[in-house]
Amino acid sequence: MQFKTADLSAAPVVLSIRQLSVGLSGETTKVLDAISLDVREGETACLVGESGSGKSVTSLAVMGLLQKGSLEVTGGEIVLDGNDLLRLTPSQMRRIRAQRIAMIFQEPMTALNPVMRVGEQIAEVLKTHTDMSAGDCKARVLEIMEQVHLPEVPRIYRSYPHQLSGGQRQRIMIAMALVLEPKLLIADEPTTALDVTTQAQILSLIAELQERHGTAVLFITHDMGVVAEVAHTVHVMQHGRIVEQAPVESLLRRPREDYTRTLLSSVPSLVPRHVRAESRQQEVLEVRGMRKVYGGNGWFLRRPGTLAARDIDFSVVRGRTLGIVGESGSGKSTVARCIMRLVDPTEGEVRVAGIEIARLSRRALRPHRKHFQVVFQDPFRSLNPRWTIAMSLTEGPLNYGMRYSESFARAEEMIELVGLPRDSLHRYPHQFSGGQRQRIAIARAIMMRPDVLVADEAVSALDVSVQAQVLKLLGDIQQKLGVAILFITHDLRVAAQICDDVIVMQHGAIVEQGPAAAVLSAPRHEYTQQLINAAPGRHWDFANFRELETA
Amino acid sequence: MLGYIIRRVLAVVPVMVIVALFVFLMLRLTPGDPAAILAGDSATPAQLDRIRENLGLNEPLHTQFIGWVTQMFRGDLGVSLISKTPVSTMIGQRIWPTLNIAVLTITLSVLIAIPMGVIAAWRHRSWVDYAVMTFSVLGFSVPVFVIGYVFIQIFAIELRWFPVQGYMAPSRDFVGFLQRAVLPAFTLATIYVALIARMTRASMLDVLGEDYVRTARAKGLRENVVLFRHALRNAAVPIMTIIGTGFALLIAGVVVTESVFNIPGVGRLTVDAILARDYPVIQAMILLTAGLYVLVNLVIDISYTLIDPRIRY
Amino acid sequence: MAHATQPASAMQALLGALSLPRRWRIGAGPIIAAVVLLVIVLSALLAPLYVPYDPMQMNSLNRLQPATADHLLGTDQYGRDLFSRIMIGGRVSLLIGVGAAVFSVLVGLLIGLVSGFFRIADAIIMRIMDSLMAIPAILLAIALVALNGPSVWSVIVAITIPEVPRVVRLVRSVVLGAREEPYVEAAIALGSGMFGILWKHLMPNTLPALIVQGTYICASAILTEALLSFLGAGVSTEIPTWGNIMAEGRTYFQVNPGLIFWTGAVLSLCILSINLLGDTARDMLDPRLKKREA
Repeated sequence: MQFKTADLSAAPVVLSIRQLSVGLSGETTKVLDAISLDVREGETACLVGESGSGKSVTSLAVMGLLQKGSLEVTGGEIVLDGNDLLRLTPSQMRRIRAQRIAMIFQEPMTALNPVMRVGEQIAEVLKTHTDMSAGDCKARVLEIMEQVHLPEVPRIYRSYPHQLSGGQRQRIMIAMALVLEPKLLIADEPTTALDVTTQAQILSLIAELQERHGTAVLFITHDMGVVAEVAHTVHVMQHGRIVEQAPVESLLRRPREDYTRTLLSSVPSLVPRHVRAESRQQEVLEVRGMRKVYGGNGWFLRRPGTLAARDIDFSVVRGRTLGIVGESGSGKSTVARCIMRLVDPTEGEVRVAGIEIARLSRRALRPHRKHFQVVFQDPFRSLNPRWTIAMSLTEGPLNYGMRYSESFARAEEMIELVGLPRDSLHRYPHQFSGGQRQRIAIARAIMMRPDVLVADEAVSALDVSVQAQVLKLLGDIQQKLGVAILFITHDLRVAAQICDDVIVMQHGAIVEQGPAAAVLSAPRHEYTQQLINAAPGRHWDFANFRELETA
Repeated sequence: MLGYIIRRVLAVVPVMVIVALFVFLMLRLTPGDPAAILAGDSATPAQLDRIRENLGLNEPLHTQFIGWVTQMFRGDLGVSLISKTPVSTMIGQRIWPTLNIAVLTITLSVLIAIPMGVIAAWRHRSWVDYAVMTFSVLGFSVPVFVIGYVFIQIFAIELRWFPVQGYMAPSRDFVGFLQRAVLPAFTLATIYVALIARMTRASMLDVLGEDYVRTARAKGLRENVVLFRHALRNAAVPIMTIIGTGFALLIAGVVVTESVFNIPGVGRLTVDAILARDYPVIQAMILLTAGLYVLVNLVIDISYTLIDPRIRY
Repeated sequence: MAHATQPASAMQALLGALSLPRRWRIGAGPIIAAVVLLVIVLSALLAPLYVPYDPMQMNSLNRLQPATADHLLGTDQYGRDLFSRIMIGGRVSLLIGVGAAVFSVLVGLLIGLVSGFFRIADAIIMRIMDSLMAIPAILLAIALVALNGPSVWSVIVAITIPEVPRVVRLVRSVVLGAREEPYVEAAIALGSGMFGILWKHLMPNTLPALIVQGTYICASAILTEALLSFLGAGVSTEIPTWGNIMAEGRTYFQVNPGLIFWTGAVLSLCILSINLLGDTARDMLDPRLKKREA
């Protein structure tokens, strides 16, 4: 693993945060509690932490963009080039933005104005802060767009954000941020919304531009892999405090604080887990020649549909886990939705517990639904907010004619199985955290004693430490109940930890399929290799604080 | 883009057909003999027969409907039962005062309401916001004619700034027109301003929470640029929608306001027709206002494509 | 940020059930509005018990009097006591408001649920609703009253019909939104039938919006009643309503403006209170606002 080790102690300090505290307006709760850090010229300082740790608040405080009326700075200073930003007037602060500090955000789709051409959005920065003529502005914009390696620059200049890909949009954001060559770039989870291959490109672009201009970068992320790739120094945050600061290599090798250790130990390893003996049990899910075309029939004109999945063949046996891995648009979720019959497959067979379900009518399907259950990605939307947990859990069994007392007893059993107290049953979803809600969703699924459990990005919205717990829970449940799991994920690390077998999908088709150990450590298909190469921090074994031992 | 426009235009057709059917059936399906309703209480059996014959009431319903629609399409809106003049002529004579005041009202409302809403959203929970919200709730809560009479009492009777009632064509005397049109226009504008300001505020509040507004601020743009160039354009679609649907309220307001201020427009024509049970006029007015409403909203729908490049199909 | 704590009181448990935000900040405005509304409603309901004069009692010697000790708010062109008429008139006006709100919400809910859940019905229903919306509500109501006669029922129906499309659209949009929610898909996976999902998951979702919409309709119906009467197309003039009292005051506006202003003031105060309560309910129930507060 090649860490960034440049000695920057001689470089001038660009940003210095001293004892910064931020509180909720009108309350005493501290969102940030006296944090201090320095960023030097040419340095990438990573702020890393789980959700709610205060890392984004820090970045917004530096930009002076804390939401008025809800968050306010209560103490400390933010010094940029010797000026305390907190003492500037609003108009002085406006001049600092984009000229001295620029920022890129997590979601490039929503961060760009949807009704303005992207070229104009970049040019606007120049028009606001310089006296350049319109012609010079445009020339400069085209030049910076070239620098961020956008193709067909004149065409993209005239495009609207929705006409560009996610990676292109983030390049536009970067161009917009760097067009005035600021001293400090704040990058708030700049690659979290992107696919892993695009992420790798954007990370190397930021590094390239940083090297060329000597920019100081404050990089906010939750992803330890990204930290290992980009950071010079790391500041670990928890509950609004910085718990540990260190150069990246010493932090990853010798973390001093317990919290840092926990965080690192939770990062799933890219090395597939130990191989479980191939069981000779019967296949409970079998998909043959499945194909799904969306749309395709207009009222006036027959339009070609979108081919979302084709030639899908696989099977899962009792007690084992099959992962479907792919980037967005690969068709992995379509496959899951077809199997759940939330959408109807266009062609092919789906057999669950020996029954062919792809062609059954919705009504005829209902008696068989109990054999296959699903857990969704978003823990905040997958439970009815108006229902108690008991109502959510007993809904399924009641549908199949079980008596309420009996299904309530089972709900008590299941809620304990997923590690929550029995009295949870009388509460409402908003009283639980994301990870707890995901446990409840799992309990609801296994209430039905299904043969197959489909987990569609079921841990993707969770923090790593919670993610690790939920993954462990799924493993335990599989052991106890012998359920087969179909695990849809974009995250190779997660797939490596839970799957026995893996399918890699691209553009709606399966490109590689086999035991997880084989596919992930010795990929044959070019695309799988790309995916694995793009995984950040792939040479580091985070949980064991050392290099990965390559076989 | 062209496809979108064509589809929007085509979608108007079924709506107008159903409106026409509704207006047509309204008279035919109510209990009682339409001929008797049309002829009034004092009609003789012979007169009734003649009316039935004239209106084709003896023919099957669908034939009647098609005949009626074709007649309407040719611009023949029927003949008034009271004055015996063609309805189209009557409307032609009375349309201008209504249009003049309506245009004045809409211009006033948009110019007042949108800045009000934008500032209220920008200064969310400040006294400006509360003032705008109070005004807009009040605007919804007071009947149009009460507002009209309050204005008359204060500005015409007590202060004597404007004449109490009446109308003057702008082509004859523009100042005279304005003197007489100001009170009715402000009366009408109250509810419209309330509606638009409220929607502008709500829509701006939504947009001001968006990431791209944060980006715009992060670029160091001035607050007025952030508000009007970035936010308002994104907030525009719901605002324009409410201007379009609020048009129905405006029509209701016109009918009432013209009575209060004694303006010889189509609103008064409608009220008089209702009181006199002059069904051909009522039918024509409903059809026309519905048509106008649909047209206004069609234009607004199509103009969305100019505001938001994402709407392309 | 929700804190996982035990519901401390019955009130909090109720809030939990409606999934309301815990911090329930109500300013003075809505409380005043509620009190004002309560006073108006009670004084209308109890009017026969306390009004000083029979609202129908004519007295030709006492026509168009200004406010005096005898006649608190003066008299109308027949010498009838305005105060008594306003208090009694409120009964019918409020009945029309509540009636129109209840009917439009019930009918709209039913049609909206069907429209939101069954694609084929949706296309047809929405075209009809678009057409109904195209006809200006006031003209439609006038026409309906003109045809069906000036009874209270006929006015309620005439006000309800143009309101229904708006309720339908509202319900439909909530249903369409909720249909895509993962918890509804999970319910499908759990083998719940279409009607079960409609009834148990989707219908409750529409309730907050419907409560809010219902209050707005109630306010606008009272207003529309006044407009209809003003235009001569309302409830028969023998029955006092706020609209009728003002309509009769038109002719004598310059002699006794109190006929319109006093009645208008009571009516506006009533509608204002209802609208304010509606706004308060919306702010508390609107999930988008909730998100912003969180």
